[in-house]
Amino acid sequence: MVITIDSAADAAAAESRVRGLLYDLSAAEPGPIQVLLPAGATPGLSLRLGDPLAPRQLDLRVQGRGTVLQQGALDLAGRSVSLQDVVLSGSPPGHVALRISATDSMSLSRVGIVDVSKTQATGPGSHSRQRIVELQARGPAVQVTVGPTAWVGNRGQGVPLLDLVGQGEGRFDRVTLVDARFVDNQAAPIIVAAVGRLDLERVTRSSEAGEFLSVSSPATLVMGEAEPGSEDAPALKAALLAGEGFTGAP
Amino acid sequence: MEYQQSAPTQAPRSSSQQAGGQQFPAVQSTGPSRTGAGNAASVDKAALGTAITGSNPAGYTDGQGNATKDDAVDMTDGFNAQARPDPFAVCREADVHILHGEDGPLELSGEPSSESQLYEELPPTRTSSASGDTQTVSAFVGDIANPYVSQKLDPSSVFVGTGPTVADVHQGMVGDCYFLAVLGDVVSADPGQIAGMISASGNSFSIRLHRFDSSSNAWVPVVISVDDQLAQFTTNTGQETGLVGSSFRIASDPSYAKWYAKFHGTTLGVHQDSYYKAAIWAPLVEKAFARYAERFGQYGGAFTGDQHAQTDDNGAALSGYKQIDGGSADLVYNVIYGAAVQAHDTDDIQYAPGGDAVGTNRLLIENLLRVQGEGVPEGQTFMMTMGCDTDEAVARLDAQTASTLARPDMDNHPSFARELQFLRSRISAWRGEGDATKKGVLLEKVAKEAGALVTPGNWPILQSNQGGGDYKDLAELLSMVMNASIDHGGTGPLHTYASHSYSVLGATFLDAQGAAVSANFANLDTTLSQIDPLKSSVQLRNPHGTNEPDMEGDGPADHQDDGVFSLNLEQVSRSFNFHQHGLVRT
Repeated sequence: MVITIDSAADAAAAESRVRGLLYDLSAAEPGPIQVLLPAGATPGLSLRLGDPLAPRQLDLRVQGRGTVLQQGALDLAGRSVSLQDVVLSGSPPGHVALRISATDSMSLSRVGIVDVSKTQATGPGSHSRQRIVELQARGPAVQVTVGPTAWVGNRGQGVPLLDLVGQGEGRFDRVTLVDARFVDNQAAPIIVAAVGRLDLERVTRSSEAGEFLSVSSPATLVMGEAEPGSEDAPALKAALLAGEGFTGAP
Repeated sequence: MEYQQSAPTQAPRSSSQQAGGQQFPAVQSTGPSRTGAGNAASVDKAALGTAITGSNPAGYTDGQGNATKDDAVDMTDGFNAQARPDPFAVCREADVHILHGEDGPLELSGEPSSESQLYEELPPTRTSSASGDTQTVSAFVGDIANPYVSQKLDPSSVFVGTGPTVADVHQGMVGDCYFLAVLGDVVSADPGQIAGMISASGNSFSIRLHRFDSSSNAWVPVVISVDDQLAQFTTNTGQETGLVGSSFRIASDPSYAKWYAKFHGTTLGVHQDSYYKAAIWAPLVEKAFARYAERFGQYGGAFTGDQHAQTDDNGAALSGYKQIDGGSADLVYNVIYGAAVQAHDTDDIQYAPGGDAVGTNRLLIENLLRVQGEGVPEGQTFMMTMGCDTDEAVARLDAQTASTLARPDMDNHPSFARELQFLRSRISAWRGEGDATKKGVLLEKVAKEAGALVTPGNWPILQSNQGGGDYKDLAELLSMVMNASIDHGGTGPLHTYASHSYSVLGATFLDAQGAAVSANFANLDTTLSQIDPLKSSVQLRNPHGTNEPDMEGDGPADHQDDGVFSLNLEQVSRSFNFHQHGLVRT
């Protein structure tokens, strides 16, 4: 099944259509759902596809077409979820710019996270939990591949740039971060929890402030490390926003 | 006016919740040590692995120099006890023989049938004497109907009645509303969980929580043992000024009383020492949580990116009460339920002045349906809290103010418009400040201006129904921001607090005609548009156990100051920018 989104109305229809598949258990389970995002720059479009608490989980393939979501957020849930060829640029309303949860696997490829800024409340009382990107394991052995990706100019004191979190009994079996470029981010580190093994392959970091990786579980096997990079943030941003940022990447 | 960032998230300093207690002839308010568990269920400590025993959370000194000190609790530390009037004296001379004195009181769940069960009057011809339990008296003070009452805590109680209730949760001076709001959820939806996590032995209580075992990536139970004392603030002269943490509910009526007669000079007094059940479970669980945070971290070793620091800037260990001072409700479910948590999360609540509060908040509607049990698997329970970040409250106030200024009828209110413009300039300065300390000062200025605007009598338009309710919407946000960062001591119109967590107890979905909308996950695409944001409502509870919205200053809408109140869906969308929830096996 292919769902094409070219407008906000299309997005609402896509959300509704996917929801219908989640709750109509009398219907046969569909094959993978491919969702095509609007081509080019699209301001203010947010999309919630799937429901992690629904009785049925689907396979979602969310595919950009040189898509740049300006101040937009993506909230994707399924059995397996993939996201490709999308740049999230600027700060959307709400506590997270990109949230993906899956029971089996998830992958990000040719995804850019650019100039997202979040502020984490501190002090007494109740706080929302701000994140820039959150990946949630909702199955016992979720596989994750992140790459190629570019993370540029993101801001958030105390806000995780990437948070890997186990939901309920959910755990990540293996997380692979490959061909990832971190440039000029001033946010809290990548938070690694509930992960069996984390592989870093061809990961570079330039001008990052503070700790890069926070592994809270000693059960996590970390293979590889981030290498110093020398990329120029403005140039990389410009390339990403023009849809050229992943030239040469696999 | 004092700048206190923490104040709005904590219970008020008012003493209005304190219990009364008759004191004759001497103060007898200090409760005895607890000796039993009452109706608490047993926790099998041997089966639970790690146990943390023999220590209370560390003490600390607050910003005003008051140190904390653990001490036995008494009636004045709880709330809800009813004061009893002093008895009158009746002058009459008689020789009296006491049958039940202070050393041998008559212990009853009710009251004696007559005074003759406590003392007897001797024949008047008898010679006056003063031999121990027999004496001539010139006056009688008190009788069975109206005795001298000394109110005390029943040392065997953990709960009032048959078990915990949501009314027992009553936040104190610790900013742990997020934790107590979840406790309110749990006791409302799954009270057996509370009863099952507490046991007692003598004056020691065992509270079962859960920590994250990082070596096995699993949640495991842990038992925290605490005694029955609670931390109190103490001045540098040693005077106790109140509980640090939660207070506790006291039963309306005594569970039993000790009756006796006693001579006071030539007066005979009839005394009733009344023992009240106290729902001490809530402050004990909070105390155990503080101790747990010291040992394992605020969330038991999980969610370390979100947990409070365990040491201060100098590396000194922080008291557990400081470590639980601020947090996220959805991370608490694991602390209470451990591996029984199926999911937990934070989700947004969107608002724009004049926007569609229902259509833009479908996820909120879905989760409110789950609170009602819709779409929740058998054997599981969905619980929820709501809150609003202070920054977002200010941002929403700014947007609402801009929307108000754009109203055509604002031309008729030029002075008011200037005030609103001034408020926006304050907000703009606050927004542009990068330094945290300076930003706090600027927030205080924003709050002060908001307070000046919304104070009754200053701008009556804010209390009017003009503009289809737009001005009242603005007033609610002004009240929220007025109370952000500044302790107003409970004065002024009150809406909801920012940086504060509220339990969600239920929701009602109605259409524009007030008829129930039978929404569920299968039909929500069609029923969502039927849900009227002004007719539909959410039932909430402030973990303060009081401080319900009261914009008119005439008390809670339901005339019950118990912290439970309802907001319509539009108010909910305006007043909260996130909801946090947990799905647990129950």
